[in-house]
Amino acid sequence: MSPRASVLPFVPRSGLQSAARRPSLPDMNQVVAFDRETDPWTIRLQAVARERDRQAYAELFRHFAPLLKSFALSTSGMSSNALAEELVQEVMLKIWNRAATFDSAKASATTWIYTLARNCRIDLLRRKFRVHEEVDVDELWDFGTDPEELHDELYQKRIEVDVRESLRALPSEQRQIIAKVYMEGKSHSEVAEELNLPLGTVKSRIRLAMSKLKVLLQR
Amino acid sequence: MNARTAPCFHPDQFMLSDYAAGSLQGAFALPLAVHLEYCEQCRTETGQLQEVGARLFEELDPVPVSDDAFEQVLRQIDSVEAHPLPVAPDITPADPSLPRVLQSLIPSGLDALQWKRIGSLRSSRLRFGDPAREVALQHISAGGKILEHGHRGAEVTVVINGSFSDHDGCYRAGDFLVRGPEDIHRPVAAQDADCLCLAVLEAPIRLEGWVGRLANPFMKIHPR
Repeated sequence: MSPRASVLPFVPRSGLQSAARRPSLPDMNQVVAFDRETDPWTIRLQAVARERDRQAYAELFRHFAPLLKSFALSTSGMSSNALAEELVQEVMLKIWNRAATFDSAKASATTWIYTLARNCRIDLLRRKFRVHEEVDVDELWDFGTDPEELHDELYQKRIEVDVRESLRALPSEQRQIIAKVYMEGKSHSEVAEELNLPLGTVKSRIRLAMSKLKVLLQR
Repeated sequence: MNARTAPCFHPDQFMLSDYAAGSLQGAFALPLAVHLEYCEQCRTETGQLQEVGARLFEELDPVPVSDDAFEQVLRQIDSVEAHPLPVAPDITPADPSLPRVLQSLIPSGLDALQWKRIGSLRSSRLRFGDPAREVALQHISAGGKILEHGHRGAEVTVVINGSFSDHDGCYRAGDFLVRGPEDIHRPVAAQDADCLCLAVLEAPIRLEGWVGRLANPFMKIHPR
């Protein structure tokens, strides 16, 4: 039994397959990397939003809580277990409270939850270092989308798959630096110091990685 | 927000990816968020840069949470459901023409702020709360010239409305520029309209020329 299943004994892993009573949830083992099916986590998140579905919420918890904890623990300067559990609880509570604001045309459930976690981490670090900034984190990091810029789920999914595949194809020295910036929240000079590399090398690896990930438009 | 022409000057990819990663902390996130309100291109890029974070996130090695974590969250949910949080009233912005992200810093509009005048520049410090950087609105009246100056640290500026120019070009609403210590410039507002900018300063500016040298000891940043 995986450690995740033991956290929520009433939602055993096999529970996802016995979906006979829940025809809307696809079999997790059938979901391939890219297809027209809606992402299984997006479906659960929508069920939480529309029906306040606690079963779907429990499944989201089982999948995302251990990822959130891992994200919190990887943060530079935040290795405390208590803070990590705090982040998990805050983000999971926000998922419940804000599910109605989730829009699958803007992002998948995973991307939406990642942005909640990122913002929550900034908030926790502000509190930890007793920095009181006047603008709410969620306002400062909500750059919005004009309705005419919205695409659809399929388009979002294609970006997701492209980025996922290009990330896997990155040379490890580039991926390592990108991971330090995103997951550990380190500045470029902190990364340079840690890896004992010149700042210019760190920057050029980031530049190379971003061009391979094709996430920047032609400038 | 009003129809605008697309900004010509943008944050570089490092600032954008740091913002998307949440590691661009402190007040520099503020002008960047303002720029994003004006710039569709950078919004798209930021969205895609967030996808990079999300894909790294989903591939983290899961770490088990404490045994009672789910129960604790459920208890909080039950209490929220039993006593729903009051819906925050929609606050009507005092000046809807200002960027959304600045509204909470300027709750009563520009006129209610305290302005300090230096020549044709009026400046008003905003209470943002970054202990290392000063955040200020800068207003240059039409045709106004600013003393030539350099910077001791990074200064990030975003134009909110109007325009100004220096030796590098003309900056219009939404344009984003970073000045380092080596840059000396002399901004001039357009002749036909006042120019309003948001500036975040890492260290005091260094005025050039005689007046500047005399004034220098009194130029200090005032983080609020």
